[in-house]
Amino acid sequence: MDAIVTQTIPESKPADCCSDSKPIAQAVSRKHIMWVYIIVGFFGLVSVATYAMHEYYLYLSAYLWFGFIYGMCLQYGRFCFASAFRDLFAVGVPRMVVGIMIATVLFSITSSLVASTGWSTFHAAPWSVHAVIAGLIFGIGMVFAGGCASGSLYKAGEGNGVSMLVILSISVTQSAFVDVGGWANKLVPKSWAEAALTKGLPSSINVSDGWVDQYLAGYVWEQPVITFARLLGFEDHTLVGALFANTFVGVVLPAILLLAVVYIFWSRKRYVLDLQSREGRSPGFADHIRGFWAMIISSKRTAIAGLFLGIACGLQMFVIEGLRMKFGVKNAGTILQRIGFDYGISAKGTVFDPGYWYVTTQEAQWVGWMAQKLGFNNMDNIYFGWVNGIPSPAINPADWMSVALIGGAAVMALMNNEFKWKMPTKELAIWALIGGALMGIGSRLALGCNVGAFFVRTANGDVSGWSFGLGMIGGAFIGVKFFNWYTERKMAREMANIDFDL
Amino acid sequence: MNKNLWMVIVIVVGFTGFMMGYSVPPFLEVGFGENIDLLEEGEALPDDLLKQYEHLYNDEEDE
Repeated sequence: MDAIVTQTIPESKPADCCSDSKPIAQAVSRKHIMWVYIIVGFFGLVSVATYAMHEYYLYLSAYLWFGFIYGMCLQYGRFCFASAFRDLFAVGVPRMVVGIMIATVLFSITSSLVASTGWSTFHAAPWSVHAVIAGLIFGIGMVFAGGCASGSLYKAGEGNGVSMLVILSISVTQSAFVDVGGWANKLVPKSWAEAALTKGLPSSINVSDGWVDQYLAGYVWEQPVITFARLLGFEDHTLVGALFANTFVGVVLPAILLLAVVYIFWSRKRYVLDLQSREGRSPGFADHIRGFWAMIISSKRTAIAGLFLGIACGLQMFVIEGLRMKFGVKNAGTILQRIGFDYGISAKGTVFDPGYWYVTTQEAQWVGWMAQKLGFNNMDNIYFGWVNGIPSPAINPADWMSVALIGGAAVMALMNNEFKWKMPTKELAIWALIGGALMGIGSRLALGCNVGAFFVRTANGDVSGWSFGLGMIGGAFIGVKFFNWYTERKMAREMANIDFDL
Repeated sequence: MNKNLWMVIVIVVGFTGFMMGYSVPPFLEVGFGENIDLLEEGEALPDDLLKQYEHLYNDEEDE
């Protein structure tokens, strides 16, 4: 039997739940502690060994350690958008939604400080109704899958087999979706096809063949890029533009509005009943303010995770931009070429190098890389061939971030006695694959997931972030309603098949 | 908080701190906010900077 050490750890939570913890004494096995140090030691060794080979590898290590921090924070805060909206719409528990909004506000403060230095790595995305539609598809998918893109990563770090299948499904679907041509070309509107041809892409990118290529070059690139700062007549990199327009107007006010809606529709009734039973009176305005505040502070654990996520996200932008200056590069593609890796670099010499937290593109890349190795041509589309490349996962900066994120989540789960290998049932596996596929499609239509298209964009004052968020909430609502219908129907069938002996 | 978590935090902060040490000096040199000292598009790089990049490219130690 393993020897054990006693320490204070958070109370175990039901799967996917977001309750704050009450510290109780539990035992963490030495085996778990040993694995914690093996994982941390592995990442440390990778960083030191590659730094010894060349200091350029520091760029990849920066992604690695920030990914590790994200994993720790996500696991600690049970930071999952799917759980958040499922809890809200299915059982009326707003705690995680509140936590996510608080985290978004906190991140927006740190990112606005970075932006005001003039060195933010963030670039706003084109805005139009496509972000809402993409969010809708993504939202349905994440409820079906039981985890969003970031949630699936940290749950994979907890040993959850369903989440691993979700990641696989997101990865494969994205990689296949961005290269779909042939019959799909017939679905492309003529205006997109014509506009795509005017973008002057090189002949290696066959822009006339591929639905996503023509969607990107013929439609998305034509849309305006809007931030709250620009809407109000400021520059994004000024203190007023970043802190007042992008953060206060673009994040704090909408977040308060959203939280007020959550309080009115989900939290108020419970608070009023509680007050009436305690004090035997109806609540006044001051009571509702107290009730609103009680709802905010009930999500302490997620908010703490959000605070550290926000700080880490801001610091990562700062560190990556500093390293770019130090090495005299604008993209990691140049660094990879300098250290002798030119396989899978895009036609313009770049690889995916967002400079901040991102989840889905690196997942598409490793499948894209594998498919390319197996003989499929993945470099003739815009997504891989022109923008992101498909470098080997072993030297892909964003892949280092995701692998370390899973490692960070595993470390936190091991220390909290929450790590457990869980094999998926056949039914859950099917839902994971369907949900992952929908998330993959939604991600590519929106150019990001719940992190890249919502969390990061919203926090940086990008209007398209809220558009994706609205679609995602709508999609989550539809997903929950569908699941309720499906479960009731299934239970009714099962009950009908039971013979009661009376 | 338990000591193992503290150990992990110290290691993580150590690595990220090391990277901050790498990335902050270039900021101090170039500047912040509206006082960023950037080259105009098309302007030639200073000789010493070109030499520095050449050394980095060739993996040579600083002289």
